[in-house]
Amino acid sequence: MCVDWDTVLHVNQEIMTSTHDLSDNEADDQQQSESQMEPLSANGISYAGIATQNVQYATPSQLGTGHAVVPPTYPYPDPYYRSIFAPYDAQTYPPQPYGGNPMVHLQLMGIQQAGVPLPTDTVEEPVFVNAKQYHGILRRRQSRAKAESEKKAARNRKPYLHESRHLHALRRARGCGGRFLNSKKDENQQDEVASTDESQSTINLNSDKNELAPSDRTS
Amino acid sequence: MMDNVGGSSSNIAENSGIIREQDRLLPIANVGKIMKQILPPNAKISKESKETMQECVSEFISFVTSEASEKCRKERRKTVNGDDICWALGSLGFDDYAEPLRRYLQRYREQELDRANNPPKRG
Repeated sequence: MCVDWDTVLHVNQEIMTSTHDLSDNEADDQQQSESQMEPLSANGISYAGIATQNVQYATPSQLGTGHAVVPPTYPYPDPYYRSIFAPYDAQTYPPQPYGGNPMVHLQLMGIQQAGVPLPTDTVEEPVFVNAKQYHGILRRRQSRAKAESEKKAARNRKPYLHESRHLHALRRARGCGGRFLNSKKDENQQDEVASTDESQSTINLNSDKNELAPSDRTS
Repeated sequence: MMDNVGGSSSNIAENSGIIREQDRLLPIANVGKIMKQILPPNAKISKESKETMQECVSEFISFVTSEASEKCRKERRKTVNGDDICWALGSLGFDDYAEPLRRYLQRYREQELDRANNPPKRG
């Protein structure tokens, strides 16, 4: 619950700065948290008896519980959650006046929708999801299954997009450490390397994707 | 955002064959830049993180868009517009995101009106 509220604050800030894509990013986190309805409902219920700080502290353990159920989702919330935690500390007082109505509202929602069990291919425990998203999830599953059956090649992730660019990169002169020899591009690639842990294929992918970005915007 | 949605759907329609990776996913460099905006300046993002986020955000776009598209199908409309996306977010329980998106859409339309009323002078 607190996580959702902080996300809302972030979304508002992002909209004010008109960085709309970032709200997409946060929306995705919202979807992931929604897909684990148990922590959300538990969080909503537990809020009634626990203070704000305690709830903030309790959430990580609940995320840990979610981790037990869905291990792959564990790494994602950490960096995002850490970044949210700081502004929450900074704004310990302002959220409370806002918090009244959303709390009651979400508590009611939690009571009304305990979560719908979602059928899974594996015979493990059922995953409970938001009832509003149940049909959408099933629809997307069918779409993905159809796409995979029709076009199996789509799953393969290529190391590069364009053969000619790849060959050109192979031909370029490289200095010690494997970076390209060029005064201007050295700085650019240092930035790129700083943002990513991998060196060569990442540089190629980034440059190719950068070229793709304008065409994507055009289309 | 609307352009992106329209573009990707038209791309899928064009390629009756294989859906290429660059059509199914957002560009990984753009995803990395967006992720970097929220992190401290000296933070590093692994390629695995970017690829994972790439899959997540692309799936979320398809998830919301399919909800909006279903609404358009029922109403026998062919064009998915911004209001349909806002409605879909609310319908899927993302009410906290639908409201900021409506405000964004309103300001976007105001800007479009300004451009229409004041066309740029051609040199």
